[in-house]
Amino acid sequence: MQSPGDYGFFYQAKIMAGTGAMANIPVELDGFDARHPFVLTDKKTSDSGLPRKFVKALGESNTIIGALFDDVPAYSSVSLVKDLAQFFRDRGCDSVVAIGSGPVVDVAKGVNMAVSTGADVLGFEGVNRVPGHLKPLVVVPTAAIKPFDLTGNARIDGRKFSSAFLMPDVIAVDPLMVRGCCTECVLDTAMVSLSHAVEAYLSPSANPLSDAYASMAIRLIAEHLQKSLKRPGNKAASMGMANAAVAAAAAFDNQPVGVVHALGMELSLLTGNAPGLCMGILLPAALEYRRQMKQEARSELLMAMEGFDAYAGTPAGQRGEKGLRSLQLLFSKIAVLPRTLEELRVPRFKADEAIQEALKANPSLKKQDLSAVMGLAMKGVQ
Amino acid sequence: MQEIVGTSNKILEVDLSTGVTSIGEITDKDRRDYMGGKGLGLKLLYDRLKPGVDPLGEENIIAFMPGVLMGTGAPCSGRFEAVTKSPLTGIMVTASCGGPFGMALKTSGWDALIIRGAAKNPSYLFIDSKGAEIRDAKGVWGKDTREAQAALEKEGASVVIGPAGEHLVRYANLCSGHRFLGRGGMGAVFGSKNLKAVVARGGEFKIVPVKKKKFDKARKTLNRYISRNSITSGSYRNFGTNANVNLSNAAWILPVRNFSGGSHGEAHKISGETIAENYNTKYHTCKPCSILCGHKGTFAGKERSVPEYETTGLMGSNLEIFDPVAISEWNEICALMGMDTISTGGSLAWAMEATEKGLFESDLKFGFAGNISQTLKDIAYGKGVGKELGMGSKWLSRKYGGENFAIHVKGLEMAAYDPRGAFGQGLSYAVANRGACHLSTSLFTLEAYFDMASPKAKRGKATMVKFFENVYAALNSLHICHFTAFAVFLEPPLVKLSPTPVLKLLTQNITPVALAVMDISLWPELWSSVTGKRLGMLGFKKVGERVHVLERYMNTREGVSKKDDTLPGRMLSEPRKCDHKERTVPLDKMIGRYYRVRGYDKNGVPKDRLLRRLGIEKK
Repeated sequence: MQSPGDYGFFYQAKIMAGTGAMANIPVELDGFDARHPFVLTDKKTSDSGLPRKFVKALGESNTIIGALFDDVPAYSSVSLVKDLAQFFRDRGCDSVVAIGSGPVVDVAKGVNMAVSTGADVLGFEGVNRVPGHLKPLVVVPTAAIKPFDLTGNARIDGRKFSSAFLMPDVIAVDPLMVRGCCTECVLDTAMVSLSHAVEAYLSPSANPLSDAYASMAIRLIAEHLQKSLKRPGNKAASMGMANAAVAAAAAFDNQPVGVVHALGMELSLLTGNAPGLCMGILLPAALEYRRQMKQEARSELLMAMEGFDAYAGTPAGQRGEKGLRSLQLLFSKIAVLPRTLEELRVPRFKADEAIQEALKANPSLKKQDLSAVMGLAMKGVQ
Repeated sequence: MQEIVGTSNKILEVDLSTGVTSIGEITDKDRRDYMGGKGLGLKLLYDRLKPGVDPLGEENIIAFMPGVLMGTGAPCSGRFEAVTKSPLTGIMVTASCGGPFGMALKTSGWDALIIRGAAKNPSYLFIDSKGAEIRDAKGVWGKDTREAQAALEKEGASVVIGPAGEHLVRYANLCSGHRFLGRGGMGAVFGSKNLKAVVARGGEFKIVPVKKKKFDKARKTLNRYISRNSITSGSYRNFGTNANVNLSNAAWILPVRNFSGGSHGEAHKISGETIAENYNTKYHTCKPCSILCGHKGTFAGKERSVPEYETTGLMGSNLEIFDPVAISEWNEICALMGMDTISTGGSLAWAMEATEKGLFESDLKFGFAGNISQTLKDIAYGKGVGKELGMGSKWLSRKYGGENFAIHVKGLEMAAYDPRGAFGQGLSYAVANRGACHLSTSLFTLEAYFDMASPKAKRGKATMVKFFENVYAALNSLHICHFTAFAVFLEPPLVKLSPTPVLKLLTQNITPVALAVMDISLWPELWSSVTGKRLGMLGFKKVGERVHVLERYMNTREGVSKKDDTLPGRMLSEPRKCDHKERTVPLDKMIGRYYRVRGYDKNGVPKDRLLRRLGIEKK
């Protein structure tokens, strides 16, 4: 383990996971003196009956749903945020509950900014522009949840909002809600979680707490990914993947953005491919690049991937390398994951555009690293 | 004058980087399998263009393809096709034009012109029967499309770019005479190659059909159909395509305020009927043409082309502006600068709404005409806010947000028919190969104008889209004007004599049977009489299918899949107030069926079995 130097760590969300997690939401809201949540979800989640399960889980509590909006579109827009904020006020709500992932959580964060401050959300675009604490925000993840959703970031109308005040106050991972997704969805979520966790773990500024979350995420993914891909409805595997997303979020939110995340998000925006697909190809390339650059691999990666027995049974000097090999083996076993960006039909000029955009969004990254990783990802790692 | 009997089958290939010119031949198999025009152009590019190249890079190729009917005097056959990879969408784009360049290229003895590479300095290409010559374009670079054509007039008929193409506006077009290769940014491809124009001398060969009698018979029948059809010889001939304004307004498919609404009380002010009445309109058409839909008129004392319906819709009602004089002025500016009016209008509408919502900074406002002329010039010259507007609405919305109301598919701005009023058209837009293209099927005519298919039904739409995609792909490979379809589909006795409700019942409920009995034999008859090769109605449709699937397959090699076959968020999630029942396009329910009837896999990629059946070699 790295010796802890000076570091800071912040992840405010209270995490409740397991059977009946949703039933605790009224108690948690009560703690914030909130009893009329504004519930947001999307059509697909609504059609699958999950909001009904949520309503049922509230049972005899003194929480009464102030309003339920079940038609958040696939694209989160400022105008929708404004309309829903007005709806929130009209119905006298006092907190926000987001059931779902992606745009649902983004819109929930946007509504929360608007109703808590009374100002135009566009004024909060950028980093640390939110002036203070907002109303309580509860996120109930579904199978498509990404670590990004559970951090202090939001993307509304293509604009980035980043503030610790945007972080959810409560995350309720309930097996009723995270099951029953398709293979593509599982793969997308898993690859994003894994990328975030590994990048946080291998970050030069990694600290013991971010390591703890990252290694937990990696271990959960290594353990549950295959089963989850094979049977997306499997309860234990789904819970494992959802918990991995939560843990990866905590690690990711406390480390600077890495190459895989930066490139993966831009490539996804440019080509329309799922971010998980892009990151799933970029991550092995980034690991190979580290190897080529002779950057030392963290020996604890082996522990995260294969457990204590394998870690203890491997000579100290070989643990880092073996951990990386184990990770690469995990990728090689995922039959549904394309191996190269060429296989994903990403043209070279789009890849170059993604590098430029990633650099613009993350000036601390080096062009040389981005180009090298992209180059390896185009052709694939042998 | 020498004669070409049938087709010359000669390909002229020019590399602007090296200056090398080569001559090739269209094989008999390719001619039979792809006919000409769009189909053959795509096949030639399929053999030459690697997937993944930068559309604005040296490696991109552009092909010009006059059809087999060009020069024969067949009705409405004065059209040629161009094929390239689009800088606006990053996938294949084909466009058709009725300008004089096609005839000049064909009568210079060439059935295909392929241009690759990039010139070091501004240049233009001169073509005659002997070959091609790259010439210095210093004297014409910087000129607008009219000045450039006038400067090159002595050398022949030309296809040119305006300042927009030179400044790589992503939806810059190519201009020949007063007609355009409008969509997808072919002008920027020329600009990236430092190519201002291609001039063909023409008039060196006469084109003669192989089977003259058969040709004359088919030509006369088509002319007869055209002259008795109420659209081709009535509304379009009298009012141009702007006759669609009142029809679209009544059917609630007219774009209003960036597709927020489908009809408007002031729409009649910009209709073809009003323009014909007030602006002294005259014919101003492609040559040869029997329909005569192109018009010019006198607007505020100046003679200008009457804007087409798409221009009127996208730069008029969609911006909430109902002033024909202003729209004609913007149409003129776009023509001189060389810009696609559909994409220009779509980008302006996005900017207006984004400005209104505080996402984008500009002075553009719905209903305000005062600054649009200047904005158009700024787009063409890449100045100020115009520089970013010239990238198209997809790019803009990715940078500034507002993707929900960026009205495009695959990066190509939507034509002026709102799919929430015609669900089949919605499916057609989503799956069309070049993006939100109305010419892929023109299904809105059956759904919204002729009441031959229920506009809000899902049933049968996948089959209809497939059928019309195939037919229109074949038409573009023939190549003949799309509007002949009104005459060919509606005038044969079976359709003509059947009451509309019966036709609607049949097309809606036994779609494959209803479409199979439609008599479209005139088109293959024209092709086979000119080439001397046999082609029946089934063969014609199969060529169409082959062309469409080849284009789709080429696009899938560029990364297109199910994720791209969608509609703007607004069409899927925002119902309009003008509808009785607030509805959005039920795309999810139609698209799976479409993939099945097409023979694509679940991800929208043509299956190997389909490619084998159509004789498309997988690369």
